[in-house]
Amino acid sequence: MTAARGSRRGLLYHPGMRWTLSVLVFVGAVALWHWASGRTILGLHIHEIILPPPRDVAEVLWTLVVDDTGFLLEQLQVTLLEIFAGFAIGTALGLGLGLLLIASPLIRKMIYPYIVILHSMPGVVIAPIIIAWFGFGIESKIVQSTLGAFFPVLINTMVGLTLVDEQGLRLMESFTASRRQVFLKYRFPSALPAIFTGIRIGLTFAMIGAIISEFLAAETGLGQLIQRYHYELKIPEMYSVIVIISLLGIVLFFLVEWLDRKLIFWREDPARQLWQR
Amino acid sequence: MGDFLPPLLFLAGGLIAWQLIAPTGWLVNPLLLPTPGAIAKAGWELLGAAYLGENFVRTVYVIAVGFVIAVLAGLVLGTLMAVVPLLRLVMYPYIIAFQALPKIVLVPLFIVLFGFGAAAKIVTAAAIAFFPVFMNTMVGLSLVDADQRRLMESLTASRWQVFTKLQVPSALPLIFAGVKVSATYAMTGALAAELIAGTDIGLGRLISTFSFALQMDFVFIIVIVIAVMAYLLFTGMERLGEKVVFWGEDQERGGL
Repeated sequence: MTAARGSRRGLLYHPGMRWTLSVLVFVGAVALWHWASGRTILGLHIHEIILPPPRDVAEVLWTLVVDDTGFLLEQLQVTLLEIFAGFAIGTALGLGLGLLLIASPLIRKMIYPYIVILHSMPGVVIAPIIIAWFGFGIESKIVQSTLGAFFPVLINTMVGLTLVDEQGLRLMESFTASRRQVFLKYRFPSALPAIFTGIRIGLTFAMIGAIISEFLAAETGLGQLIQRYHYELKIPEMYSVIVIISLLGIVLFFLVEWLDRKLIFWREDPARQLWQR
Repeated sequence: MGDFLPPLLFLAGGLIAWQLIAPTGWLVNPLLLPTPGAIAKAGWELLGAAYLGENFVRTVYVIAVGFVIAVLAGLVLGTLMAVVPLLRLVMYPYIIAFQALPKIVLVPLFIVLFGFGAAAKIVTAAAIAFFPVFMNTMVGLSLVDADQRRLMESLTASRWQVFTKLQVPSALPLIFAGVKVSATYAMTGALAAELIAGTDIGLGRLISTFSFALQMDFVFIIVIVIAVMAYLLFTGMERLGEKVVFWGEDQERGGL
């Protein structure tokens, strides 16, 4: 595609052309998948059970979405509840503890080292402990997703409230602003972009927590459904649920991305200009 | 020394309270929350066990290989996307979709495709660790200061010179921030895959086995081992970053 340079550059960079090429990439990928399924490539046999043709997956996906809508919605509802409950609790706790630790240097000194250690630890490894404590039901999933959301929000709240422009603080103080005014009108607003970044990461981690916990042991939910189809060797079914969860993840990601643009409208994200030309 | 005192006191107080409360079963069933003493005993027993070594080495191996693959792939593809803008624009929907995708859902898929051995875990670690390096490489190389670029171009610098003398040095701090995040992600990916697969060897597998047997003291001690590993990895990468890209401002959280 380097040949795109030169006289035809204008045409190739036309938005219509760009999206046509994007669609072609997708079509090409599906065609490659179709071609590879059940074929021996470089001496490696790709069995149809392992990689069912896209047609089979599409058919199963269609059945699941159109014929078994009720069943699918039930699973989706459980997973969404786990994600959002954990996300809400984790965000509230992270924000609350973050504010407390900023307000009280003594408590911060006592527990901050442990927060750093727990934050750098992959939270997924304690999923079996959480399941042992809270059971196979929805509670253990909510706790796991709470933990997922908690740390990014906590760390970003603390970082955001700590890294405040000193000059602005001094300006407000010289205009005899009270501590409360400085916090509400300056410190907190200027920490908001960092806090919201934490909330964005928190939603992703809440989702990962819920799914991991469902993978390990659960009664209902989309993650549990994937595992069940995996054990029953219903591979096309497994692929279709993976497609559904992936779409759910993408939808949630764009939801917070959209919220971020509305709420933190002053945020400068240089990466955004990468996609414009 | 004064900085160490409050956290140590907090830890000591917590452990003593835990040791006293746990056996009473007041908060949690003692079977589910072992006392610090029981955990220490399990740790001692585990140290003598021959299988700890091979499980530990396997997990480190999976993390290391997955991390290296992710960094190499991220650097190469990130550079490609930065150098060929058309490719970046065409791949845009897929890059964003892959960023948004909780990669963990792919674990059962990787197990089906690559089996129950080390391969599926390495692929998971690599898939999760790939994005931060990739994104930060692409962003860092693409978004260089326009004035500096124009200055170099007006001094008739070639594209290669602009790339090596301007784009790479100004991107390196951001790239290294991505590498740091990737190291942590590779660890998460490896352990998550071991845990979900629940087969073969590795620390994640050990946790899954011990928790099925409800030997929570062993589960706790392995979690502690993992926490220490994660902390060393995290601070090690931080130190390395200060040495390697000493000129860059700290770009924490880039590309997450």
